[in-house]
Amino acid sequence: MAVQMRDLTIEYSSGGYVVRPIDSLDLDMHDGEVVLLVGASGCGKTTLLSALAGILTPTTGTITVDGVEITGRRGRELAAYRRRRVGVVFQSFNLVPSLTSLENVASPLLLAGVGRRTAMVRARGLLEQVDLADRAAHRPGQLSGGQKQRVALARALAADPPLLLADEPTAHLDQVQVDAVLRLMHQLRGPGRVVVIATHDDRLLPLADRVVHLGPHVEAADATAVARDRRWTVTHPSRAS
Amino acid sequence: MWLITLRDLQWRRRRFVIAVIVAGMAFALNLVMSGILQHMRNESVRTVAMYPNASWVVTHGATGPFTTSQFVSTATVDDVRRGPGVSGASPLLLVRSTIDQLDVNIIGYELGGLTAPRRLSKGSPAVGRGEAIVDVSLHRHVGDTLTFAGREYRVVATTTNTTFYFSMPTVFLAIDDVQDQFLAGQRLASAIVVTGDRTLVAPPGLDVLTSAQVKADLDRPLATTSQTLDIINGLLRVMAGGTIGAIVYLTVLERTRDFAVFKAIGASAWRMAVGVSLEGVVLSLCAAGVAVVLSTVLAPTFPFPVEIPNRARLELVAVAVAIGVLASLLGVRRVAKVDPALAFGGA
Repeated sequence: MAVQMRDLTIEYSSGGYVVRPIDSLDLDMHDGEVVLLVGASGCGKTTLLSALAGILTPTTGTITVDGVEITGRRGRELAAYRRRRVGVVFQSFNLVPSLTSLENVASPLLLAGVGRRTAMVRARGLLEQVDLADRAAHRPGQLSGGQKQRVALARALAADPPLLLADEPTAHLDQVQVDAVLRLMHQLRGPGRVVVIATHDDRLLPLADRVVHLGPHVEAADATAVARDRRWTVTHPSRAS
Repeated sequence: MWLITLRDLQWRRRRFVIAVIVAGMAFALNLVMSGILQHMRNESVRTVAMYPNASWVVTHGATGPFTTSQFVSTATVDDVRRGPGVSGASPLLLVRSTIDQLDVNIIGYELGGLTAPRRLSKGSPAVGRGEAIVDVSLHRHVGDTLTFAGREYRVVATTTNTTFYFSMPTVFLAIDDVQDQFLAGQRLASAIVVTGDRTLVAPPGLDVLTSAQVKADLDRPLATTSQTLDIINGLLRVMAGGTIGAIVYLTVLERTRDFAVFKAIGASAWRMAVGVSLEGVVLSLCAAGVAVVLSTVLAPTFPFPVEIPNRARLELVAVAVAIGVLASLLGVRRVAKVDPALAFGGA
């Protein structure tokens, strides 16, 4: 499992101005890595995640996931890519309020046409994995922030995706809850999977194999990434320490 | 998708119950209107069927015995009887009157003849003048006395299902009594009812009508009313559809973030469209169920007889499915436009 981004530029119009949060980005993510995207608000972390998730089409450049280029895909092909290859943990959890924890976790499978019984068995297993088996019948409104985040994480893992994306996974959590999420994230790293986390939270730094600093005035620091416009850089926390 | 739809219906159950009740009331009125229309149609069928396999001889140019003011002389009855293939012929005189402020149809018939009422629910056939047979909807009993236009008639029998013209009760009298009371004793009839084994040739100055023509003539004055009720029926269906459509659309607006998340995790557009349509169809079918119960309760309270045919109930189920799908279209369109990138937004 590997992700390659080549000459990736994403721009959009906002208030009459063209905004280019990602400009000529070349980046490789290797099998088993946990990559942290950090930087100031508006630097393009979520935009990059959206592009990796196949939700946002880059203006130019390519994204290749496990040897398959996704940037040229549209409609059903992209939906199938999102269903099979990507799991997303959204900011603010974004659980469906009418569904129980179990049903929320099973929802990607149900929407993919997997049989109800099979989907529920898989979802129950994932809830056990995130230590929330006893909250299976609870709706999101009955869960704490940390519990919601763990349900969201279990949902993202429902299809066992090789690419896991998390957008500010600790944004609404206290220290205890962050620790629990960190432990889970740590368990998720391993062969066959790349985990990409967009965050402002320094507490996640120990988790990362690499940290990509997005934004202006930052210089490149690693051979695996090439900064053409000096808007981003890659560092290795382990080497730094 | 079914589970997600069901859960959303449960989640917003109060709103859905309100929508089901409002749409259900519209559907119920729809059924009641259908029942009124059906009764009107059945009345004319039953009225003509009182004289099975008959041909109807009327004055030349008359559109039918139930609407004409042109009469046939009863003297021609014997001529008609002698016609080839004729097995029976009897005069029939139709007029209207009021009994105790209630409008009634009066049918004058030949005692013991072809036009005498056959299916009596109580009592025995009239054997002489001054005796009346009445429809049960007049709420008179055997032995009662009817008084109208200064004359009295004794009820000797009752019959059922003989109302016509918006469920007006019918009183059967000897034709001589009707002629004396309403035509100043002139021996005239609205039509001569004829049975036979071959096609009847109209005597000079007269026309022969089939039962189908007589039924069409009987239906004609009701056509405008029937069309009006059809229009109201259509509007009631639009109202039910509008109610369901508005609720489904509001729900979709509220669930924009949910749909963005579903799209972001790879749900296909058609699967979400099916989910939204399912909500509309479930609402509509529940409303149809409420309507069937409500119309059954409401029907007896109407002053006009309501005969809701089972066909109308089954048709309502099909209509409800179609309305549910149509009413969901706006919501489906809205879902198609939801940007999955919304899922990445904050709270």
